[in-house]
Amino acid sequence: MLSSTSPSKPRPRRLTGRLLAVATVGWLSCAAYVLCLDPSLRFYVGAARIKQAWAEKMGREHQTRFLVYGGSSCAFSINGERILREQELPVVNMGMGAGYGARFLTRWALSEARLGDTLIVALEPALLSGDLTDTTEAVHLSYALHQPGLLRNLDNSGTLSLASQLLMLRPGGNHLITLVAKLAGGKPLFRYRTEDINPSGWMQTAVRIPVDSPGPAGALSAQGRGFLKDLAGYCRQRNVRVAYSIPWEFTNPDDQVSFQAQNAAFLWHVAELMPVLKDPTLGVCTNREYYADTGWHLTEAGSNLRSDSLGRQLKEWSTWTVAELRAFAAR
Amino acid sequence: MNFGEIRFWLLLVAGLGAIASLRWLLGRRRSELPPSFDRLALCALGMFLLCCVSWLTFAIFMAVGLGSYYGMKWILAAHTKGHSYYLFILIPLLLLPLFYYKYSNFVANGVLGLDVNYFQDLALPVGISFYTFQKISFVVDTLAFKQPLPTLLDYLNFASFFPMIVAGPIERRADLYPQIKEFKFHWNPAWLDEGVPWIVTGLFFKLCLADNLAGFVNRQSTTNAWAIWAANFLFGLRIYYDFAGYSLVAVGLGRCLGIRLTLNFLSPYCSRSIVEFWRRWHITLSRWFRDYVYVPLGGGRTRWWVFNVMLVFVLSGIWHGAGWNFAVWGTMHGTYLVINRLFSKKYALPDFAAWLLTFLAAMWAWLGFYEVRSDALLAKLKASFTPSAYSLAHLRAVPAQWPPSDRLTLMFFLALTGIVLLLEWLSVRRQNDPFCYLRQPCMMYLLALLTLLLAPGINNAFIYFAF
Repeated sequence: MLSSTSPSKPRPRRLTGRLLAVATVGWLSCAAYVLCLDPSLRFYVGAARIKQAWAEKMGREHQTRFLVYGGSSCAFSINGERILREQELPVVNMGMGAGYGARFLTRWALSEARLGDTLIVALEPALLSGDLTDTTEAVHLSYALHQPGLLRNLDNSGTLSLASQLLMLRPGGNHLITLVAKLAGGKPLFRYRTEDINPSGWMQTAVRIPVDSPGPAGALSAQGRGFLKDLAGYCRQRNVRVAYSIPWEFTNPDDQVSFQAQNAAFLWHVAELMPVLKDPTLGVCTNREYYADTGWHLTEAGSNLRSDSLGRQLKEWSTWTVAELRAFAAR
Repeated sequence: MNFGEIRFWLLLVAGLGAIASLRWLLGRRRSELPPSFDRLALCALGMFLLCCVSWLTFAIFMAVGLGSYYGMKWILAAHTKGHSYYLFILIPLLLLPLFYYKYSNFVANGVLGLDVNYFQDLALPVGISFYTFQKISFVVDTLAFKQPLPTLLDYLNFASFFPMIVAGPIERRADLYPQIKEFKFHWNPAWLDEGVPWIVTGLFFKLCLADNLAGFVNRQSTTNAWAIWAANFLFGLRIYYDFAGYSLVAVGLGRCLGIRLTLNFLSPYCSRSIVEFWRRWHITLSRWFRDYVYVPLGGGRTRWWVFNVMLVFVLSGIWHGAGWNFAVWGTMHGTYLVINRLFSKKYALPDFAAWLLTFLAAMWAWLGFYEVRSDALLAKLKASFTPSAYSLAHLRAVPAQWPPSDRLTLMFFLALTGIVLLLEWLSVRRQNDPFCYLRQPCMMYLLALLTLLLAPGINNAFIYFAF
């Protein structure tokens, strides 16, 4: 048995050079696919443009705006046009996809924030319960939007080196295999279409899939805590009002009380860092009919309720106290 | 020094560029470079890369390195006879930093139950288990076998050769020192063409196979035996491609510089007995324990050979991590080896059955490696022996752990892993040249493209960095 690195057979010369050339061409092809052809990225670039256009419109027509952001739960639940019509509040739905991560989503929303605006953090609790490193999807979208600055921290330091970012412009195994399977099966390459997005950034889908409960909020991680603290400081310095609003998730009726208690425990830690809007549901919704294709994506009927509720909270600016949330958590 | 990160490669290119520039500048002024220039530059490069990992890592490396060198020097200078006895003082001293950073929390809180918070936040310096063992082996080989003491520069180069410093291979004096002593920086395209295929194969193992499989290891279930086996199986594949990937890159980097490092993995999942498995898995560590613990205890020729085997494997388990689960893992393998030795001569299994049994035994034992929660480990071990835990309903629940799109991806990567294992098996059985089919020039292009296309963007640290 050979265990040492014994001499190998002679190899054709210039292998290294050719390999480097193949790798470079391969990487360029990957980057071109990601930035120009990736169906999910195309969708989110379109979504970003719609949301930016509404933010600009609201900026022109109103002195200050309410920017609500988060993952897809936000995109599906906040109907800015409805809130404007019913409550006369200029709300922009900046929600994108949870896969972009808390840091990117926040920078993305802040890129539209101006003096006097209100920023409503509607991030899914899971995005604040673990590691907050920028994701591959975030790198892809920031480059597709020509805004690599979205990958910086709030203090403007970099999270990933330029070389790492460039090397991340690749599709990855999961994406590629799923794409091939969809092509082979003649299925749509991405579930959602740009036409599903309303002018205010609110999104709907005709897809209906029986939903399961995603589970209650986990504990706020050390990184999540630090991030929210930095965000509160950042907004204070720039005279942007900030508050957290917990998204509504589908919950089985039997779990309602315990999930609310766990969400209250999460919110109480958030409330120590920034105001938390006083949503009496505590992020729990037990009506399965209000959900489209996941336990986070509200249907029109569900989003009407959520939008009306949020509009009232914004108008009254009612927030939970830490003591109230602690009492809920102890139930 | 994470080979999976672009930062390492940029730092390496920068370091090599600085050395080449300095060589050129000095070469213009003098007709000949000082004879030790290249060895000095190699040492500086190793230290620079180590400092880039962290200052603590560098400081502890230097403390153990200088301590072992001057300890050897003092013993050799002050005492003409009985050098071996001083090993009983010097080796525990060298082990002190390792014990403090790696085992103090486990011993104080896990074994003695003292509830001391101080040790809980100690960060393990990268590579400490590897370089401590390498330095101990050098000390033993020098003092016990009366070898001459090298210069400090050569000793530091032996210990800090950058491809192997953080995760091995744990090289022996006889294998590496003669090469290091004669080291010269050469621009040699033949060396590069020889080293690069190892690097490409290693990166493919790590970034494409290990990192993709990592996302599917679901350790939650403690009652579903099928799910436990699935987790063991996926973890077993992941850890192999993770660590073997690192080792192959190390070998490739060594070859690019004209240094031949020992291969740490020889397709262990192709083994047909557990003895063969340990001749193919983490070879340099197995040899270390064999030569410095097992043989001095009397090896397999004494009446208490069972004790020797068990002790070596429990120690090997604990070397991997400070926790009861690692001791369990070592005990499992020790038991396998004892059973293998007792029954292999009486009952010869057909090749396929022997391979399957070895494969399943190795996979089952991974449970002891990854499950750090003692109660969960016990529950999983119990479930493995409970017939009802193997019900059809439990079997059906295994694929449901992953969403449908993830199942497809998992199947693809399992198929790819199967092809790679087959090529490994063919390399060993037909050519007796490890990974030779994977290192063919045409395969290089394919592996490079597969890595580019399929490697996830998320960078997972090498598992063995934690040891």
